[in-house]
Amino acid sequence: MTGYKPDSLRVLLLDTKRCNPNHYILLAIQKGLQSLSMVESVTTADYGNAVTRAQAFSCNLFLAFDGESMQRGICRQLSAICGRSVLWVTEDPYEHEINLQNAALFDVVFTNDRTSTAAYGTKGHHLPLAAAPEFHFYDVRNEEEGSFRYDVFFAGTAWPNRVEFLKRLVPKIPGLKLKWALPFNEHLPDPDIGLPKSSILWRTPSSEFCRFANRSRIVLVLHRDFSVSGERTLTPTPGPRLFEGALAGGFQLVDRDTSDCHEFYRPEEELATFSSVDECASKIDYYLSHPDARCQMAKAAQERTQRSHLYYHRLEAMMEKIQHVPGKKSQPVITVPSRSCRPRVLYVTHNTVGVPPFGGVEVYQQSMIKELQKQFEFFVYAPTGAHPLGSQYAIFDEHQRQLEKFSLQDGCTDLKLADSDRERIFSGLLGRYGIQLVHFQHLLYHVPSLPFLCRALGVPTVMTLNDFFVVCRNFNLIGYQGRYCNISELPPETCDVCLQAQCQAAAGSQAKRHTFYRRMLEQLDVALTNTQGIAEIFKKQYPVLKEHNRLRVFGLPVAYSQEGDLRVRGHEPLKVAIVGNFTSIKGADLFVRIFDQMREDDVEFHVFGAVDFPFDGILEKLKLPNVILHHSYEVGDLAETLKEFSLSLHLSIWPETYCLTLSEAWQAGVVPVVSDLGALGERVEEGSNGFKVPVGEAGSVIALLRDLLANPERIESVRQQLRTDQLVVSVRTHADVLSDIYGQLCERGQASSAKRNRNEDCEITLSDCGVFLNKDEWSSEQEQPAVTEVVEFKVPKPSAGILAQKVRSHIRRHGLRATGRRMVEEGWHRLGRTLRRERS
Amino acid sequence: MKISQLVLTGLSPDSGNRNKILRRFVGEGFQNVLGAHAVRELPLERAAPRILQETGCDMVLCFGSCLSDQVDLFSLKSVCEARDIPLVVWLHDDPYEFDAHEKITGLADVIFSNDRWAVSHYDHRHVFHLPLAASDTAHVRSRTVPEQWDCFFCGVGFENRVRMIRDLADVLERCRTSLSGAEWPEAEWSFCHNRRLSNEMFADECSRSLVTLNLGRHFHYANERFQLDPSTPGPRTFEAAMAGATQLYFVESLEIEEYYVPGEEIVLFDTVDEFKQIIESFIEHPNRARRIGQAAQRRTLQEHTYQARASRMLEVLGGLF
Repeated sequence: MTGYKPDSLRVLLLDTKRCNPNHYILLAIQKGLQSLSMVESVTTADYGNAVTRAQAFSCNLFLAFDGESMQRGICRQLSAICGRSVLWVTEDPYEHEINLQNAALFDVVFTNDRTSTAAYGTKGHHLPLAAAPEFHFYDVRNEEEGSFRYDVFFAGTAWPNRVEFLKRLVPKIPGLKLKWALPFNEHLPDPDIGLPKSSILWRTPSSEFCRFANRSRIVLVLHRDFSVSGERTLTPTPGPRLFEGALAGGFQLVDRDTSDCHEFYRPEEELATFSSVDECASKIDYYLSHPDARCQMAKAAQERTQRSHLYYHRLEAMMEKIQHVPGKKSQPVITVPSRSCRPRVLYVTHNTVGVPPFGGVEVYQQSMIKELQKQFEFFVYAPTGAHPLGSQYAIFDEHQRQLEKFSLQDGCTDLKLADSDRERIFSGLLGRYGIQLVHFQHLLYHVPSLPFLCRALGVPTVMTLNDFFVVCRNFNLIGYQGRYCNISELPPETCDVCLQAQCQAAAGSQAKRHTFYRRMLEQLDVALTNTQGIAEIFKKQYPVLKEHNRLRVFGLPVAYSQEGDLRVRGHEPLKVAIVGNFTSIKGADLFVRIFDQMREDDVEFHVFGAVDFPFDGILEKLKLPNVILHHSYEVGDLAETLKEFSLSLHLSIWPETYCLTLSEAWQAGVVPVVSDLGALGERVEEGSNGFKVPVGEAGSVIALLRDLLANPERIESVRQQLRTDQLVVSVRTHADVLSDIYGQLCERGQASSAKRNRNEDCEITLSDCGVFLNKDEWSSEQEQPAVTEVVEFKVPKPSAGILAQKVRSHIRRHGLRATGRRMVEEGWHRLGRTLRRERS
Repeated sequence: MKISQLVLTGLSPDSGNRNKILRRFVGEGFQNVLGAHAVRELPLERAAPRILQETGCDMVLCFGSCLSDQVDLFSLKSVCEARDIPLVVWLHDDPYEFDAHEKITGLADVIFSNDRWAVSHYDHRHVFHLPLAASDTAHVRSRTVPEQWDCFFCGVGFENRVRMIRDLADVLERCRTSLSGAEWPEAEWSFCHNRRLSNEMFADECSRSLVTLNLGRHFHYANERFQLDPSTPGPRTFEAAMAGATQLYFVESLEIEEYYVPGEEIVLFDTVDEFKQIIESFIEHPNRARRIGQAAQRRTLQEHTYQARASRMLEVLGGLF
């Protein structure tokens, strides 16, 4: 336990009510605190940045204001970080029950309501609200100047007791110039006081309230007798308006029976009082004809306010009370009872090993968990296989045991930028499981708002950029024309054209997506990518990645490490391996043409990987004599099998971000022929560790293969130069780098925050973090018909297959538009499946 | 502050920006202060590349609204930082879109807001109040006498306005009234027509009317967080005054008195009865109304032009940079 030095307060000031029309009071408190000598700094925050700011400014006092709508998880964490915590509630007794519950999170509680104080026990103190010169001060006016605009002014929420009172008062004060504002809310009936609604249903800022008070002969102050929550409906302590009106130089006429106003102002000297409608009417009449008395009382009330009822005075009183409360060093909230003391790392991913179809990323995740298990305790958060995908999520422990499952109404398409249900689920489990670091493996089927929540909860984040999903929904950047779009070099209008053609997205949709993803990337502590060239593409699209060394580059590990095998291979026939799924973006269109042209050459093509529609039919139709299909394979088996091959072809038409099959080929001593694009073009050095061909150029591949057939020594020369230890990253090497990153981030979090904390009530949303979005989706279908591209198959088309028949049948039954929509939906689901396969 | 080249741009792409015309007026204001050659107006999406290409720009001013999800000043900010140019933002839709401003507070060096009460709520070191204004080229009109209309109003039929018009309907039906705009219950009143008026047509109609009704707006697009009520009059108040309108202003904030003298340059009303008395009196004594309109126009020409606002902004910036 440590006490405060009197001049060393670094205050973190938070408005607990995210939507608070009385937020100006917090601003006044901020100014009041800044004037106190013992306060070194005041940092205001919202839920999105409070933890970060408390850490950054080494705050040692957490002052929570208002008490309503509290995010308990974050407040608990702030209390722990700052070491001492104070809550100033302003809605007692109306929200007393919830305030009492929240009080448990704080060392000291100040309540606006005298009668509620005792309920907080020894930690409770009474602290009324006050006024702020910067918002509320006006010089007192007198009648001679002729500067009053109104006879009687009242502004306040239309609580039923007020409405009833005013309704009875109106006929008793005829002929007066009234300025009354009675705004109501969804809990209250439309106020009827016998005046036109247009004259009374208006609102004004607190500063203007004071100007009205200043320009009125009499300011009426009526208490509130109403509670939405079923709590007590009355407080004797006056609300802030009394102090604000007094500082504004208003002459105030106050109902005295239910109020402690005499505790703050001398009745009939600093303000006038009444206890009935008749007395109120009579005093209005009296004081309108005694302007000097009014002016004198208004001056006295203003002076009293300046002496005693500013926020400065309240905060002085607060500091006096809390300086006797012992502070605590920043400490954990609740220690998770566990045998393990390993930092807890959560992998957020689109799939896990064991949920088919799973591929390279899933295997990679599993291998990292296995490799780093001694240092870190892992959890995995992923959608289950339930359809629609993203409608159900589960959290697993590091042994793949499911711990909890969460179901939602709908699936999670990539159109979603934010979703409050998914955000609450995710943030809740961060707290419940005491997660200390989140590593986003992929955002597919997740909302990209999740990193904002991590930042709000002070959980460091890592994100692997395995493909270009953060740049475009077409994660391989193949545009509507079927080619790599080179997005970072093109104007935004290109994306408008492309996405309109592909999914009828309205113009500007991609810009919205980029704006949000840019902000999302800003939340990350570290982003990972695999090669320098790919990193440059990301940085060009998102310059924010250049900041703070945020983007780190290191290669992916092969699943099975083995010694490089550089033995000379036979060349009759030349055995060429094509590893990976046989899809268009992997170059299937090119392969088909190469196969067709080279059916008579002394070469054998072996395809390892699934061959799907339409290529299964195409290959069958072409009846190629020298193409052998091996379909799917076990990674371990492949490593051995590849040793028989001389060459491998990697002809992707998109800029692969790494291409593990290239590593696997090198490891087996196979010489690769690659598209000169992306990581393939970057990792392969022509004639040194492989050969490069222009992207999408089948003829060049054929020419190269024929040349190598004629000159096999060229291949062997390259093979002998392969340095697999330099070209291939091992699991251990990769894991060591990750371990360093995890370790640094976890340590940083622990240094300033609570470590290994289980924190309940952490459910927050993007909106709670103060991030504004008009719409939670970055695109919606255009209402007007869109120009769509008819993409022909680029290879000999098999006879109309099942898909074509299905499409025709669907059009007949449901029409063209519905069919289009159905195809988009189907395309989305296929996107997920494809993504998994591309990794394998 | 010495400015040799100001780049004036928006906060969101120009396509779909209905208030683009206001930026033109702002541009004219700065041209009047700095000289025509010193101000270059560009759409947001072209501003950053242009600043990169050209040298000499020493201030970037983004004028507009932050509401669109496309708003992203990051690129512009990066360019400004690289060139050591201040990035200044002038927001024109406070407090109605206040929540959206979180997107730019971390990027702008200085923020000007059209609304005084909103200013205090920004989480930013350099925020200043700068009301909107009127254009002395686009809005000045000579009043048509006798006027075509006794009472004119143009605007969207927000709930509070509909409520007010309902309460005033008796008297409006009795005089020559023109009510234009959008989303009004057209069938309810003979004087109501759902047709949008351009900025210039609005000024024309003001000059053809004995009085122009000025009603605030309670409709907010993105103001959930602090539920701020407007304090400063909007641009229409200044534009109408520039057109020589005699405005009948329903009081929800007394800040209006800082811009126009009540009874001399503008007429304030607080109740339906007051409105009836005032308009009946003006119909009987139209010259009294006309004198108020002329005085408002003079005051606007002197103090409430975009040139005056540009000077004020430069004065504020001069204290910072």
